[in-house]
Amino acid sequence: MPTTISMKQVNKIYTTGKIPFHALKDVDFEVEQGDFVAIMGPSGSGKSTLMNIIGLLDVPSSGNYELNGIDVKDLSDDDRAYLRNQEIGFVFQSFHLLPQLTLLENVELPLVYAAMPGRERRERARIALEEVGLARWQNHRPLEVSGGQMQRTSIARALVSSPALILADEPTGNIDSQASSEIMKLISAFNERGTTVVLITHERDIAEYASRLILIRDGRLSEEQMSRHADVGVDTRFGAPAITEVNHV
Amino acid sequence: MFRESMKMAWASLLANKMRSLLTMLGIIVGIGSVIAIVGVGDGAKNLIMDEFEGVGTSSVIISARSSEAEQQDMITVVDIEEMRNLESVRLVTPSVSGFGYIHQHTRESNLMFYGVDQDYPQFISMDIISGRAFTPTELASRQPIALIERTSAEKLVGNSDPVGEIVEISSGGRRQTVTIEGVVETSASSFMSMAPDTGNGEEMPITLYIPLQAAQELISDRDYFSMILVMSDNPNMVEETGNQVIRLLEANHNNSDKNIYNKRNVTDLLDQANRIIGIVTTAISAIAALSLLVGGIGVMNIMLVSVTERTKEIGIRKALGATTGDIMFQFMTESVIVTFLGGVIGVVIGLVTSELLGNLLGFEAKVGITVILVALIFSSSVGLFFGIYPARKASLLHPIDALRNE
Repeated sequence: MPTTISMKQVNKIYTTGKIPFHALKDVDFEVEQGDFVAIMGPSGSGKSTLMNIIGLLDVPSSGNYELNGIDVKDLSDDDRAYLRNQEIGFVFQSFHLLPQLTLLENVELPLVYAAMPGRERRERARIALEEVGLARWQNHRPLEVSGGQMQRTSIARALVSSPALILADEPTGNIDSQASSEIMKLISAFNERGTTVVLITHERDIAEYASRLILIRDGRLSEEQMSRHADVGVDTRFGAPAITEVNHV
Repeated sequence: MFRESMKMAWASLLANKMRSLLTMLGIIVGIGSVIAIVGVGDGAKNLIMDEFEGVGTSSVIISARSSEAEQQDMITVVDIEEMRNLESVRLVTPSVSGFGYIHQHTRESNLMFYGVDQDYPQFISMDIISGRAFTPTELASRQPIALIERTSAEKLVGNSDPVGEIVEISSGGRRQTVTIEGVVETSASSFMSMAPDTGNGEEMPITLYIPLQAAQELISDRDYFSMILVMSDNPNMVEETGNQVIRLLEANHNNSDKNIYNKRNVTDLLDQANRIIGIVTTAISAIAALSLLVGGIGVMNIMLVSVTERTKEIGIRKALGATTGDIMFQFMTESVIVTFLGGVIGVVIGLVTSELLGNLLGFEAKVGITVILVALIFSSSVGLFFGIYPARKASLLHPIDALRNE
């Protein structure tokens, strides 16, 4: 299997405050194509930092990160923007839809920046909305629909450019439990069709949808064996997986 | 991308209609006043050109400065005769003009009258609109007849025909009853009507043309002339002919040291008019430039507010793949659209204003398409220039910081 994410000895140190803050410590992390990985950790554990680096929104202080085989170290801001546009679909906790645009226009947005012609763009956005069951709502604006529908729109937006990776940051954090399970089923369905998913959450039952569970604490990663997937062997790359007290909400 | 940016800019303008309009105000005022003043200025220039076409460029008008000239300095019949013998002079006609009153029934209006002889129409075109012209015999006589200026006729009798009307005119205590024989439009009429009043708060006087001798009689009994019109043999020698005539007058009246005589020709008048229009244009343009500068700063201010308000939007767009250039372009498009629209509104207001001013002053305002295009390009450039800083600020926002913004 080709590797979607490959991190070696990645460190992130913030120096904005008086005391430098070591947010990620020697992170080694691989995600293969088609994987569904959940990253869990308490707040302040470094999971946002990890997500920002995976999502090319931030750069490591040291170490190596390859996304889909591309070393991102020496990329310019615009190169990273291009790579985000082509390879990563974001699903955010608070949806991050543009309120002045219709759902269809929101889904079109990544294709706008990919310079796709209008007609093709609209067609693809319409198909993506159809796949998340929102074709009927395409001309509504985000504030006219429910939280679950907004999140489904952002999943459509994440998928519309057929990225290598879906990066979902607490995708169910702002919606009720019934809508949450719909969202997770949707994400799982897309994963089953071959899209790599990295999910960041602090809810264990949400993390259970994944096939791999990574725990992060104080900037260090460890992998826990999933009980549902007993056939998957323990990945010894991350050392002892004996973490039991994790933040169950 | 371009169409998307246009769409987005348009949507954001509509979302803040009042704010957008207020932002445009400086641009509207600036562009509006430029268009208005150019329209009026060019219209006035055209009018003056048209008017003086009837006068001809080979003519020069010589007059004694009324403030300084004494009895012995006045131009006499002898002077005229001697001028006619000058080689460079083709034609000379004397004229007098004076102020007085015109009495009609119980009404009394200010009067400006010109004494003209048979050669006068060769200098200043006189088109008869109704009634008839003076015959040469009448012109050479002191008959109590008059031609009335078109605009004056309207003032005097409204829409009815003044021909045949008998009016009493007076000047300096002398009175004369004259019959109006015709309505005339001279090459000076609409030029006169441009000035709404004579400057001393009174209405524009009624203008009458009467035979030269009749006018002289009304002013004084003597054969003095306040003004002569001289036509040069050679249009290129007008200046020189004028000087010759003045030297002759100074020799005859022995007053070369007093600088009594004044000469004006059409080119001088045009230059003078252009100079005045130029000064007004410069002054208004300076105000307009200031207004555009202030307007531009206003646009910059609003765009900075807009960038702050839309930090999160910028973050989302960047996360989805917008490059620095894409964000820059979006905000620049917005500021250019604001100033372009301000320019369009300004052009419309300027056109309406110049049209109204033209109507008020009695001529057709003219705004060329080039002027409009330049105005629009200029107003857009203001947006381009003052949009750079806010757009740059927006484009350099870090996506993580921008996304964190709520």
